[in-house]
Amino acid sequence: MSEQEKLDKLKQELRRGALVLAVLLQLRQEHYGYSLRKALIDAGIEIEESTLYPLIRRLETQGLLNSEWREEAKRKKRFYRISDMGQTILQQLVKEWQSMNQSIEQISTTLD
Amino acid sequence: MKLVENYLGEVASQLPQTDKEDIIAELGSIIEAKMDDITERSGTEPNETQVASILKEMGHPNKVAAQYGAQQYLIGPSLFHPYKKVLKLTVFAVVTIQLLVVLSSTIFTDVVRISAIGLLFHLASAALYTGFWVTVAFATMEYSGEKLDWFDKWEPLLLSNAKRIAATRENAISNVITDAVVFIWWNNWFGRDHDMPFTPNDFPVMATGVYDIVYWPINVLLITSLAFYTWQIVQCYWTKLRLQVAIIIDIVSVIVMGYMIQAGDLFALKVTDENAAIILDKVNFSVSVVLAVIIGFVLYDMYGHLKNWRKLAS
Repeated sequence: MSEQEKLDKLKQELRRGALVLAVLLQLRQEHYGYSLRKALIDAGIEIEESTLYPLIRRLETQGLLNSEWREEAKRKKRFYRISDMGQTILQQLVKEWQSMNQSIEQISTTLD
Repeated sequence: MKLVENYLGEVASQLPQTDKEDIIAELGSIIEAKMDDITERSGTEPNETQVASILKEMGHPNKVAAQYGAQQYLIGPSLFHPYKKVLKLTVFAVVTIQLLVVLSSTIFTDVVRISAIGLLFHLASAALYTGFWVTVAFATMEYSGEKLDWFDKWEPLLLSNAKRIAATRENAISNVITDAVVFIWWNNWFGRDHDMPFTPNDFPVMATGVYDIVYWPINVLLITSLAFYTWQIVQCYWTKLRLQVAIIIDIVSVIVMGYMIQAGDLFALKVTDENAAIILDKVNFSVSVVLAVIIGFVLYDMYGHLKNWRKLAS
């Protein structure tokens, strides 16, 4: 495995944990699957479609998202938005993320 | 479009029945939205190559369907290494016993009853049969391991406790599988009936007095050993008491099997028939060879127990 491949693999692992956070943050605004992916890409978060769509379904099953089928531009689409429970959990996840960020910053400054 | 229909059909065929329709409707709507995007940009409907490229982005049907379900495997990473070890060990043991039986009976009776290719198939089927049961045992353990939280309940302090010594789960599993196979063989194939199951095939065989004497001791021994090593799979450590039990089981096994070998034939003919007598000699001899090989394995097992005993004593 080349150095670049190793780096890509580690980056992928690092991003995997952050995906749920990114999706929940993005879904404070209503989206359907494809528009959510485009919004995430615009924000700099690449995610495979085969990962994203099942992920939002799982989050919905867990009660973190609400969804409804609606017609838009003569096409039926399933729209998702964060639920009340999702909002509460999101706040805690954001805190966790910030605290982790801080810790990493601290470690990296100490070792520099 | 046929391409999209076929793609969704492929995904649907691998989805659980409960959410199938909903998932397919959602995937269909996403594909439509992507096609609309192309139409908006180019002013024409997407051609087949463009649709194929959309489907490529969506992912392989198997991969997409798999992401919608829970991760599934027969034997997970925490058991895979011991599974490989036990599989190698048991397949090697079974194939060796089979090979020794065939070779020894051919050498000692001067009758070749199986061709080289036949022997290969015979050994391959024995290996497959063993592999199947080892896999079933580990798959069961994988499933029950999750239920019983074996891996969460383990006690690290046991590793440093002088009165206990860590045992390998592979050893316990090998013993359970071997005991189970011998138990089935002893009770099913031979049966308790003196007339023996060969009678319908006009092979008039009956069990001798030796068989009567050892039938129950062997069953008791096998059941004790099965229960003991099943418990060892869960506990996974040795104490002096447990090593004593294991060594006693080994010694009694060697005595019983040694008695069977020296006491003479397990089976006898009900009538006088020269051809049947030749075959019966071969059967009795093969049983003795199998017993001798099993004694070898038991002694090797006992050697391991004695080594652990010495570690605990020091």
